[in-house]
Amino acid sequence: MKERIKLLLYLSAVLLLTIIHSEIFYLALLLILIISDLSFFRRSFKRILFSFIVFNVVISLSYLLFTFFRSDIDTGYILLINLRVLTITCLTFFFASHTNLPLALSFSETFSYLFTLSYSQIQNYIRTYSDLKEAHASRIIVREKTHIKILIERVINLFFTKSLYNAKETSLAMRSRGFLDG
Amino acid sequence: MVEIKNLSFGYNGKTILRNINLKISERERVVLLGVNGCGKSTLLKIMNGLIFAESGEFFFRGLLINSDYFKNPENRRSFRSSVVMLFQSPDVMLFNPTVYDEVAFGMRQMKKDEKEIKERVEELLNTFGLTKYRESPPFELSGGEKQKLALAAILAIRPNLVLLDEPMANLDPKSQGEVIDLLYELDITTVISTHNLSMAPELGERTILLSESHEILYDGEINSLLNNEELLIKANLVHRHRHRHKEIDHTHYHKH
Amino acid sequence: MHIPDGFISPKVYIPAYAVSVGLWAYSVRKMKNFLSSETLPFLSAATAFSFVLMMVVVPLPGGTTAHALGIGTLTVLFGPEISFLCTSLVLLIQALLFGNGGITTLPVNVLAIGFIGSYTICFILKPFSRHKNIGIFLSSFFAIILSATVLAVILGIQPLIATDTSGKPLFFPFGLTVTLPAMIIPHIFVGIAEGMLTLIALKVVRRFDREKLFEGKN
Repeated sequence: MKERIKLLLYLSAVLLLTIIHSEIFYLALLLILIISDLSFFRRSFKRILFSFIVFNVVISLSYLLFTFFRSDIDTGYILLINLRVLTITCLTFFFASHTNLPLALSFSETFSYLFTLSYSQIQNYIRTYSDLKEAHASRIIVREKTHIKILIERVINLFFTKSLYNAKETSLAMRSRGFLDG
Repeated sequence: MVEIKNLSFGYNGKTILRNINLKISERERVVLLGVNGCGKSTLLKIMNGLIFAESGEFFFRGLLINSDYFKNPENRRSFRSSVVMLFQSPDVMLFNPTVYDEVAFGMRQMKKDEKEIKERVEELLNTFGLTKYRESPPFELSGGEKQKLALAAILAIRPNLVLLDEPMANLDPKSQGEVIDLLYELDITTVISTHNLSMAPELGERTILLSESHEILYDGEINSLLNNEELLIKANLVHRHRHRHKEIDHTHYHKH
Repeated sequence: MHIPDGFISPKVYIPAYAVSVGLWAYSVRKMKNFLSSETLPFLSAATAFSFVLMMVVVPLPGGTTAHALGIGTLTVLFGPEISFLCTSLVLLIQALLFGNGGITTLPVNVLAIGFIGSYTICFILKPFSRHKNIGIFLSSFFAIILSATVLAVILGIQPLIATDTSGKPLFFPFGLTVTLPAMIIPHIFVGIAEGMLTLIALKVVRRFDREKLFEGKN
């Protein structure tokens, strides 16, 4: 229940952040967030920034250029939009790391299972994928164009097999643990 | 052959290796011992030139190995044909359409002639008991067979330094014995990682022990480490549990 | 493709959520036995597979590379409902746990990429039953172009529907004349990458004897 309230709070905050157009409001929320868990934001600052920096820099710079040629440079918009994006992104990272997401999403039990099963496999696949790329790099003595195609084929081959196999194993495991077919 | 100086490595703010210093000479057989998560795989990947240290240096035959080194295709060719690595999961290493092509892959890149390649591949398939699968796709093999195939594939190019990450972990006892014998007959430098203390003496003479705080705890001869219970407890490589001998119930540390 | 939160007005993302929820419910209902020990593991495995497809970098003629989305592969292999559901779930996981995209851009991406992408492929693929490879490439390509166009339209209407009293933008600042070319031109390359990925993937997968895989050999 507590986790679902957190989800509700998070969603309402996001809604407010897109309804109220005030830099002061964004700044205040951002400050409250950061102060509430300083060490988390110190650790995740880079990740948070990288998640939107490219898009925002491109949009901000082109907008500046655009208004410059119209000769009414609008820095207010740049501040507003970047502060809003920063605040929502910080809020999302904060929410995701301080909430048990499967519990928060358990308004549907099925969906919660699906989320957990998918995410745990994704984490596993990310590790395997990076190992696969490294193993490939380790065995390439002379670089050739065809090697990338070989790598792609191998990725699809391995993960398709793995997925079919996992689907079957998980299904057996669920039945063995008494999951009732509805 | 290998020299590592003051090397540290971190990922996402977490330390994975702390101030590592070591030297490995030609034909040495080194066992890298430590519990899961102590940084063994990372150290092997650094020695294979796949990832690069944040601080400190790694030298192979006197050459500093960093990302700049690999920008030169000639350097890449010389390093990749003399240092090879067996990954923990053989699945990630096999990408050719047949078992034969898998073993031939490295030599084909080195532009060896097909006759020489054929001889070498047949010899290795025979040694590893894989001849009957030569035309099968590698993913149809069992876990142990895949492990042996991956090993055959990296040994085919006659490397000078072989790095093996937990080569025994996926094998049944019979295959473990076979792989140990195969490795024993190789006259090359090997660095083998394991978390299995009882396996260590079979894999090499010199042991480097990594602690859970990602530092080198011990570097030296295996037998004196096995007698140093205090150090083994510190590295969490021995466990204690209760057991009963007839009527007496007691606990002590185990090395198995 | 990854638009962060804050550029899209609630006037767009709230209706987009309403439509998405409706489509999710419809797709779930269309699948037989959704809540079963067969379907859930299958969907989660397909979702993880779809995540991997999005990580793959495809080399393009001319030396550049592009990320494909794997919508083509998923749709041809498993059908549009599963492709739509799995893509939605991947987008949700990316938004919440990997900081790619956002929670307000989620329904927009779900509709543009997941729904329109998957069904475009089905629609285009149908008349190509005799020239399958051409159909697979073209359908994957046009699915990406159409998704990009829809996203461009959604971004491009922001300055029309959401400005302050002085007429300055509150969300995404550029109109359709900017967003359409800015989205569609680069996505021509993504489309080619997607077409190539789908062709490679289906070639690899066709080699499998699926029955054998289901016997549980790893």
